[in-house]
Amino acid sequence: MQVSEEFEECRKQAFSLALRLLNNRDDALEVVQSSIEKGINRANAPALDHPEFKPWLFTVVRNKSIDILRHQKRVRKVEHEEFHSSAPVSTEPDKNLQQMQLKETLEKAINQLNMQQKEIILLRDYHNFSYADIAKILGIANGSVMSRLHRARMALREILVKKGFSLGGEK
Amino acid sequence: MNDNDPNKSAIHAKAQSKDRADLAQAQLVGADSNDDQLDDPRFELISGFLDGELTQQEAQKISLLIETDVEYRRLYQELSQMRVEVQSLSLQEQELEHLDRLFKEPVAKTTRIFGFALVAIGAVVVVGLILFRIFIHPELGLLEKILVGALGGGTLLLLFSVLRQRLINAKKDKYKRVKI
Repeated sequence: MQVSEEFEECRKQAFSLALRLLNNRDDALEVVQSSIEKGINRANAPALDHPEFKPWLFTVVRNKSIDILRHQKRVRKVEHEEFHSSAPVSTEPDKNLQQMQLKETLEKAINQLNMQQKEIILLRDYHNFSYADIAKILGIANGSVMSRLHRARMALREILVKKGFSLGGEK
Repeated sequence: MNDNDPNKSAIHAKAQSKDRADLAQAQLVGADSNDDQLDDPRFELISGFLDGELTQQEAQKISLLIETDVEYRRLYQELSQMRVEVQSLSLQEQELEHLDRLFKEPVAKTTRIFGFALVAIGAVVVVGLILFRIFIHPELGLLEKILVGALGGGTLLLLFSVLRQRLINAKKDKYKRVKI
């Protein structure tokens, strides 16, 4: 069933966002479940096979995640082994280890960003949303997306540089 | 002002685009190699360029800046690589499989249905048995038998009502074939 496949992918991505924002698998799962239930039960929510459903779901997931974070008053540290690289893994052990270390550094750096910076980087670079969709999800003006995203990237870059992460720019 | 006016919107977008392009051009002249200036909002067009969200005019200006300005090029390369690294992060397969299991929960679902059916059948049998024994008991009066019968009948009615409601909901659920 076509709807089911698209929905499955959308759900996984929504879970991934919630997990990265909340750093807790159970909370992320609950957020996604309740958001999908809201989508099914709410008359004004877009249908599951509608193109607007994905941005709508991400908006709800993001808002629910913020509610949980506000409630908890703190962000729990994510277990670094929950993530890995999808890039082709090198067969050389040294390179493999180096890749893993780079990813670990990146994970930690992302988790050091504040909520606003983290969510906009994830929405753009990880989930590949357009600026227009990001504006919808975050409830901000279209024109603010680029500047907010750039500030977030600069913050991430600064953290990575401080951690000694080589970004390969010309010196 | 009517925000929906397409002409006004087009003029506004063109003016905004020109401002941003001029800003980038001004940056070409005034760029300082100081790292603090990398936080300057004028550099944000690099992000728009990386994401393919600039107009053709803006993109050309940024291409020129990247070619001619060392600091600009360095920042572009760093942000570009950082973006690739973030894009390469993904959830582990095991994590997604675990997620699937949690969402589908076939065992829990089957157990729940089976348990509910057992409880419903057991309740009907127990209530029926109790009512039968009470009704055939020679020492109990008619009033007592009627009261107990009302309690038992009420319980069975409530049980039937819950079962009926669940069946109606299941039939009307338009997303029942969608996996959650």
